[in-house]
Amino acid sequence: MSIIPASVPAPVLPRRRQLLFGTMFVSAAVAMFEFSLVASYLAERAGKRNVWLTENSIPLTQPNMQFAALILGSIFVQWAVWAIARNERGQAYLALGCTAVMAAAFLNQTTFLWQRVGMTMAQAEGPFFYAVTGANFAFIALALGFILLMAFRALGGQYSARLPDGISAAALFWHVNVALYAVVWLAVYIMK
Amino acid sequence: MALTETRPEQAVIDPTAERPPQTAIERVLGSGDHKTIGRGFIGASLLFLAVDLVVAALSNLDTATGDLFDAGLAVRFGLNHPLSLLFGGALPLLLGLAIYVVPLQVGSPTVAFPRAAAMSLWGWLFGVVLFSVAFAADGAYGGSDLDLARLGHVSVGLMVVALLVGTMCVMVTVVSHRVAGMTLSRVPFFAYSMLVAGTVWMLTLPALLANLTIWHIRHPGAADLAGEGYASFGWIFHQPASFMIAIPVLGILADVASAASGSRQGMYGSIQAMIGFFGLLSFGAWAQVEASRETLVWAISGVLFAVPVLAVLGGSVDTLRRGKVAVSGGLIAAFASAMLLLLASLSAAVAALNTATSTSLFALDAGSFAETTPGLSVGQFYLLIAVAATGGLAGLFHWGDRIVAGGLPLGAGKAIAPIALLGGGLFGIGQVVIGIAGPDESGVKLLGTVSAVGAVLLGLAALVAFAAFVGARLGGRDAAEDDDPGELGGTLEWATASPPPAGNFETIPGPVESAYPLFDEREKGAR
Repeated sequence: MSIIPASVPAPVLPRRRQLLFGTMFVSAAVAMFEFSLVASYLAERAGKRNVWLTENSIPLTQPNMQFAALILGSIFVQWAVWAIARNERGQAYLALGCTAVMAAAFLNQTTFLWQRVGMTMAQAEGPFFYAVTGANFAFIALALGFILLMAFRALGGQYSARLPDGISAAALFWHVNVALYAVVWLAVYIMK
Repeated sequence: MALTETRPEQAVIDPTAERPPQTAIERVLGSGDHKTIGRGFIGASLLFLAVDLVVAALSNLDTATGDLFDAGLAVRFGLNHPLSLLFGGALPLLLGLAIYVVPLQVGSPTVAFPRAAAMSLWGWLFGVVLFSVAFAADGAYGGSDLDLARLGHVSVGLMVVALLVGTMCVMVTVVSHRVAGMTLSRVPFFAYSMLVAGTVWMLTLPALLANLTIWHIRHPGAADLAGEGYASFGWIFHQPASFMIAIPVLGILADVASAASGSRQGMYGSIQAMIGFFGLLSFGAWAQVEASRETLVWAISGVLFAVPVLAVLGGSVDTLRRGKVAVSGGLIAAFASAMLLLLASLSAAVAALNTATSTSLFALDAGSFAETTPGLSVGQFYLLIAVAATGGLAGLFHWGDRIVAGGLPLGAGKAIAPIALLGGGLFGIGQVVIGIAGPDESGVKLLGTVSAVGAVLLGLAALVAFAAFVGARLGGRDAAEDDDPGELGGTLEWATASPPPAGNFETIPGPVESAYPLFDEREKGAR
């Protein structure tokens, strides 16, 4: 027997695509922020070519593995979108969990890379290197939080084939951050 | 034995039971109602705007006379007043108006993400207070106390982030909360202009945030922060980026003209396109370094600013011509802000032509806030602040009876508008003339004083508007005792009570069949 009286109207569904549009606008702002940081990094590097990264070396193993983790995460999160749109809730939870693991792996590899590089803030390139890679770290951490929040909401029954927006929004934010990492990977790690 | 084996006693929910009444503080602090949040933004930004304009006046007087304050204080005044004018006064005034009015215009019971909108208000207020404290205690830019200088720096970032969150809420409201039948081509002009402005702000302000972030993590000294650090985001005060603040004013003008004349805007799509074009020209994150402000693209964009302004102004005059005009404070202020925007656009064209002719047309002195020197770009920024302030006042008085029960006193609106026009004009023109004419020392002194007087007049207008707003809010003017409210507009914000009830509309409006659903109803009734 339900404890909710029959006279109480059914709750109104949230506006469709509200979260998706909000995420889209925030993603645009995040992209501009990251692009501006990368532009500052490149401008500073162009002016200090003779001292740039002379005291440190950036290994490529970690950045490449980070990229691989993010791309795998993209596949997993898109699997979650596919699953929730078909009410395959078990698959959706599994896919979101896998994406969260990839995000955690990325964060772990970033901190490991920072230790390996051993750059200090006193160096000319220090603030720019940490601003660019740190922003990427922060946004992936934010994406991880977003995915976990959406996963808990999905567990609570909030998202389904009828309203898959939350999972789609988290996936959108993830994909945007993967694309931004591609820019950082090329500009900072590959081009050095 | 499982703990859930024993069935709990069933709770009885009475949906008709009344909740205990909230206190006034609970209503404000805990509210996610867009009307409360919008009012909070409007009231606080008017007050800060008035204070900031007094600081701007003192800074201009000091630049003119050179001996008003000691050097340290003069630099602090000079560096910090444009930031507080932009992020403490003008931009939040327009955003507050949008958070209040846009959901009503698109027929929504609420703003999108109401808790985020509330966070935007409180985050911004916290940022403004932190910035003010840092500034007052020998900190912020130009201050000698390093910790407080950094506090000022961080608080600017906080204000920007908070304003971006509020902007996102308004944009999502326009995109996703429209009533049935309201396509983007039928969205009221102010809501549409906020969508355009929001897009430009979302793409421009994060670039400013990136500059702030880099200078924060560099652990600079107070002098570095006031020098190179401040110069790294000085582009925000220059054209084209500085024009982004004026985008919503075009929407306010077009909506006010239609409501004042009781007639539809002709060439609706063209006016929308012109607002979009103005937004495109205002995108300025690409022009951060001095060299980019000497390019052909920059010069062309500078010349073109006047085109959309003239188009929207012309369209609005045509709308007035076709209807029976009810002159109100909102209407006068809207046209005053358009005039100021035209002046700013002309100054942009002068700067652009000067660049295009390899600086041989005028002996132009652009001036700079970073170096606290007067000149054309300083005056242009002042004009744009005046545009936003006057446009905000126009919106406040135009939608006054939507915002406050019974509306704001119409007489106050009619008195404020000319003062704002005069003050805003003097505020900017004094500096623009210094930049173009290059007068001698006595001329600089005189024109700097003119700018200071203009700032005081504009600040007075903001203060009177604040007093009228607070007075009407506390006094709760009765609609019956109001002056003639004139014609009501054809857009959905006029379809509800004054002030709108919780949920904004008794029944969800729509579907709408044109950009002016209330005019549609009126015309159907007349047939």
